[in-house]
Amino acid sequence: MLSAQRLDDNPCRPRHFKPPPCAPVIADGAAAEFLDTTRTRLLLAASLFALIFIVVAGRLIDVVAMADGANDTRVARSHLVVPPPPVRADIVDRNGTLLATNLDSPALYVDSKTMLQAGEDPEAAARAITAALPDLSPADIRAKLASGKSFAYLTRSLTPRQEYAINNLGIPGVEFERGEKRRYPLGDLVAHVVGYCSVDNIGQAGLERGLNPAIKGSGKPVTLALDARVQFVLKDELQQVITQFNAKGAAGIIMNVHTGEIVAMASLPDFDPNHPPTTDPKRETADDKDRIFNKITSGEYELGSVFKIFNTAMALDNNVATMTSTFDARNPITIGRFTIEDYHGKHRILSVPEIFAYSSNIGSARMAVAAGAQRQRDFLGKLGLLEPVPIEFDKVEVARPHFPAPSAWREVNVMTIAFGHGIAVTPLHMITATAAMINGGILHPPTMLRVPDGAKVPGVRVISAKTSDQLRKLMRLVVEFGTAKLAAAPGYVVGGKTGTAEKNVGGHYEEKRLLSSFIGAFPMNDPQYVILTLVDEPHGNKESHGYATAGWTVAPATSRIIQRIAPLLGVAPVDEKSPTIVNALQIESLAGKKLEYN
Amino acid sequence: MKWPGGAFWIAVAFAAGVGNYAVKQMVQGLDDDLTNVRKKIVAEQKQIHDLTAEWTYLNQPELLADLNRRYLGLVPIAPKQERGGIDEIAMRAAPPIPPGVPEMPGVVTVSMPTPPTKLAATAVPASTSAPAAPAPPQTADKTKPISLDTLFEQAAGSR
Repeated sequence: MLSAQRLDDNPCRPRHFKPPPCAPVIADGAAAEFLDTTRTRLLLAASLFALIFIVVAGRLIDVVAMADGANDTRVARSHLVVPPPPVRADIVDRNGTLLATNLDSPALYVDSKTMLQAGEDPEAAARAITAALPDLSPADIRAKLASGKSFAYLTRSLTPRQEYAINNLGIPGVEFERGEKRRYPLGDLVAHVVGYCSVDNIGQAGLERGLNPAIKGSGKPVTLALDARVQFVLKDELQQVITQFNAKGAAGIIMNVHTGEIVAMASLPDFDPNHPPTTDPKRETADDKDRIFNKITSGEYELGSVFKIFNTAMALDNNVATMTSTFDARNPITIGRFTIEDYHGKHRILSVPEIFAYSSNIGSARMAVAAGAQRQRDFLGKLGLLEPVPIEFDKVEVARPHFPAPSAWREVNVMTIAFGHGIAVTPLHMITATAAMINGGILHPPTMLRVPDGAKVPGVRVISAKTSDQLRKLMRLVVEFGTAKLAAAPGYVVGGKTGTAEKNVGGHYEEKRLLSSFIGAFPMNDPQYVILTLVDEPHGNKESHGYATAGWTVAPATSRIIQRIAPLLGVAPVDEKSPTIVNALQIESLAGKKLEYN
Repeated sequence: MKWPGGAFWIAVAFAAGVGNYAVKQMVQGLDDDLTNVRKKIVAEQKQIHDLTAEWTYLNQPELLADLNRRYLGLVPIAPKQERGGIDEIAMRAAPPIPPGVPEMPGVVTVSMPTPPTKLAATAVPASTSAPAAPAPPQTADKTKPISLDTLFEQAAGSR
């Protein structure tokens, strides 16, 4: 302290400089004790830190040198464990049955460079691989293995068994690439509805194509209105019709009349979406084209007499005719180069119900002429028959109807359109518009997706409830007394309309090449479902007395379909002779009148 | 006087450190368990998904129909068997409980209805030996449920 005071006394010392003491300060007494305590604390702290470092070092050795599988979970801890999102969402039917899903299916590729560097013989490796995968071409595999390239696919899809077999070969450079493949567990049952995907999981046809963004984006299953059980019944019966009548093909569709939900849709011949036919124009055969073609959405047909439903509805709804109106059907109509005559000719004046029940072309043509071209065009337009049907399929798979231009819609067109010739629409058009004719008069857009219970269904009124009621009675009449008596299914009050159209081949109608169709609904006292079945070029047989018309081909099939699907769809049978039902479907003008059977 | 105080705080700090370390280890352990359980769930979900696909494949309606044709001979329900809806068809009465078997509360024994095939011929006598519910006459009120046996007998009679 004294020496410090002395230094401060020096007037020349710079004010900012304070020299250290010249001699060490010897601690004694309290200072010595303080130093001792500090040293002890320092020692303790150093020991503690040393201990910590030893623990850390030990742990490091444990992690690095003595690591085992248990540490893997610590690495994974920072990640949230969630299943990887599917490449494409599942497609399920209305009951949750899986229609399309993705399953693991690794691809096999070769790094030829690595393989050759490892001294592997490409010839022997190719032999081993083709022994495990016999579908592959040995020459092709050999060429890829010997190419020297660092990447070449050998196959894009392996089953677990094949993967195991290839893995067991242990060939260096032959590697697996994780991947998923679209699978269709029900095979060809839902071929045209669901469609199929490319190897890159891009929808190529059906709803896989139409709903591609939704299926790829959401990850949530897409629930269809389709019922796989009903679909099976429809397809089974259509297949029977093809076999029985040696037909070229057949198609069918079933729709809920109140929601527009399509519960079944089949087009035969079809294909297995797990192995779809090629669409490569160079390799595609006529058979491939035929199998992949969806007659329901892509096929446009002149459907014939089933169109009389719309013709009659137009006349009744526009007050052009009533149920008691009559039209002269005594003689064929000759107009231009056409002669319009009746297949089941009565050669007399017929009332509206008789024209419908006997499917009179002459009567229908006269009814249409009475309404006029403008009304006819407006009415068909209102039913959506002059534009593509709005549905979830891609627009390339939904055909645009064919009909005369307004300027060319002459009287002859009015007459032929009355009985379904001179206008070509898809079966989907036909069923959608027919549903509106019998459900009380509301046109609902058709949908392949399930409508949730209680959801509001879009719809627009196209005919009055009274006209709709009259059409129910007329359609019931056709099954009771008309051309479709074989469509009757006891207990289910079936109604409908037959149509047997000659196919237009190269601008000529061919008498022997028919398209027979039947559109039916049940139960007619309170319609729930409508069914359209059609068969392409059927041939009459012994059972049908040589006939290939709708009444002998698809009408009986519809009866069988209804009897099989009604319990599945929850439609209970009723007593068709009960006064309530008889009165509901009684045509007043025919009460007490004996109708002629065809 | 300062040494015991220091020792106390060192002990507290050490105990807190050890406690903290133990809790952290426990949490890590639980976290690992959770991760493992989640991994198992994901793996099982994938297995369920694959099995669902396989189950659907094995239950193709066409395949089931073929198996039925070969082994069972079941036929679709005829409308006359289904007056008033499937739900209204009465189930066959349960067989009597043998003496000595304790009655389980809340358990209802229901025997499956027999299809109208040749199997039915062997099933009918068995049901007649049991004290089945009295079958209503054929002209019974249609609003009342009719037993399935009666319906099948009617169906067999009409064929």
